[in-house]
Amino acid sequence: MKDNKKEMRLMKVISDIPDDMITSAANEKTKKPWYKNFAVLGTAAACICAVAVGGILLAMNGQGGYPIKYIYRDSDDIKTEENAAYVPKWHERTIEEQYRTLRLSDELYGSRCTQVDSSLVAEKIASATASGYDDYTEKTYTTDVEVYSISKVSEDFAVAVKFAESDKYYVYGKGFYTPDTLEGFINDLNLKDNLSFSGKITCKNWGDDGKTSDEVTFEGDVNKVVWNMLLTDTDIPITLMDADKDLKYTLNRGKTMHIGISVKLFGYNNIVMNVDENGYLTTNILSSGKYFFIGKEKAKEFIDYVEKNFEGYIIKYVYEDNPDDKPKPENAGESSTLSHDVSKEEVTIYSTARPPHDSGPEAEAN
Amino acid sequence: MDITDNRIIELFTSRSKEAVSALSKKYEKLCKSISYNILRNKEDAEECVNDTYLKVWDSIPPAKPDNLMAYVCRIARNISLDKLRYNLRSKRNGNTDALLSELSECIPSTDNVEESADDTLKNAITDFLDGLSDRDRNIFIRRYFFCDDVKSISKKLGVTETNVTTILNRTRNNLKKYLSDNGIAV
Repeated sequence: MKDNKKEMRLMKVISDIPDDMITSAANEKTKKPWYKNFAVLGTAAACICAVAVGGILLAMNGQGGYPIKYIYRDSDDIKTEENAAYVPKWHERTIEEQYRTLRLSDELYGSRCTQVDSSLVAEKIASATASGYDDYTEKTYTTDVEVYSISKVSEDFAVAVKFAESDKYYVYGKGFYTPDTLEGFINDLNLKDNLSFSGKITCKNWGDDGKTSDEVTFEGDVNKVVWNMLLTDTDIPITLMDADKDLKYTLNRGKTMHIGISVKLFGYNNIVMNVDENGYLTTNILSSGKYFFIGKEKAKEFIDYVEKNFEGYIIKYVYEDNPDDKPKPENAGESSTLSHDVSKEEVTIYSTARPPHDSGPEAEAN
Repeated sequence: MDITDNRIIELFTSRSKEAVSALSKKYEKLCKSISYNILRNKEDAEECVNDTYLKVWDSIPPAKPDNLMAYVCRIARNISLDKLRYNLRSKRNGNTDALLSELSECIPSTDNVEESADDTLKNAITDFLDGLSDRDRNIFIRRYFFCDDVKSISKKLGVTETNVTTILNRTRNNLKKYLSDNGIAV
């Protein structure tokens, strides 16, 4: 009789998944039709799709005095999610998708599925073996590669890999990399050059039940304010989840600013850097969470600054398939543009001169 | 109106007799559901739920969980898994066999790899789940944390059973690959 020892161990380990994941799964209610619920896919993706799909309409009676932007979606959006379900066969993958794992000096690096320009490739540091797993045949393949350092990026975090049959360089990163300090984090990844911002910050009020109240999106010079207000005191040590057992009960509770960021060189797009009123700066760069305690005072100063100086608005989604989602005249305050049904053809109506954009200012920080 | 979690914790902290009944009133249904889904036996599930209350009583104080629901669910689940392990020594359990059989698909080959430490495995699974979409993660957790069957998940989340099965298959395969790629054995 099979003892199921490994399966039981896996079951036990799954018991220890983070509280917020448990709460989220427990509280998820029966969904309405998909076209009413697409917003859950995240603010970042939503913003990008919104610009691609339709017009944005502004009405001036949002909660807390913030204006509402109505963003149009159509049913084609959902197809992108279904496509993600397909696992490509081995021969359909590109070489960096085939060989996902690199073992270098007993450390494991994973393919980030991005290329690095040869001008950023520094000296060769090793010859090594990359391996890949074919889900369909359940075979593991290996191939010899040359490993190079990347200019201004720590080898402890990422390296460039060149395959014999390709003249391109691919980025491989260490998933379990942990910096000692915020300074180490910034320098090891060369975030000064590699960090970019979506230009949007979403403010959410997280309750103890893991739910949020209405979200407010802010736009402004995110690049400048992050570098000048959040990433200045670089001696801050990293907070390790295992060393601070209360941390998971503290993170992202109460008012939290979710800053849309990307680190494209390492394959991280539309992820976040969060600042919560409990004083934590957190980010999911490198797949796993990184936590730095910047202090409540500094966090509050940042949150207050954004609320006071950035342009804030509440996003409401309007689906072509569902006329109930469309803004009613009574929702529109005095705006005469809403006295009739809003159609997708109606173009953006803004109360300010700021044009809509899908990517934020990426200028150098002051 | 439901009593708040903070109030229940206060009752436990002050050793109030009302603590267990307040906890039971709010979370008995959820705890029973988890225990029953794992054990498929009403009496065993009730016994585990009672043991859960006892363990909460013993642990608060000094513990002061910020997320009482997750805290209680985790205790109920672990007690039920211990009971299941005990039961499996002597008998089979159809539903749980299916659950464990599915989980076996997540376990990479262990050739030349030593068993990973609990923390390493836990962190890897957390990282993996963190990278999933909300929907896929919730479906995975409903199946393998709350041990709901596919039909219940389908009904609760408003997606077809086929879709749930497909997502679970894909997620298991991807988890296996993720663990394998990172050299993590179970």
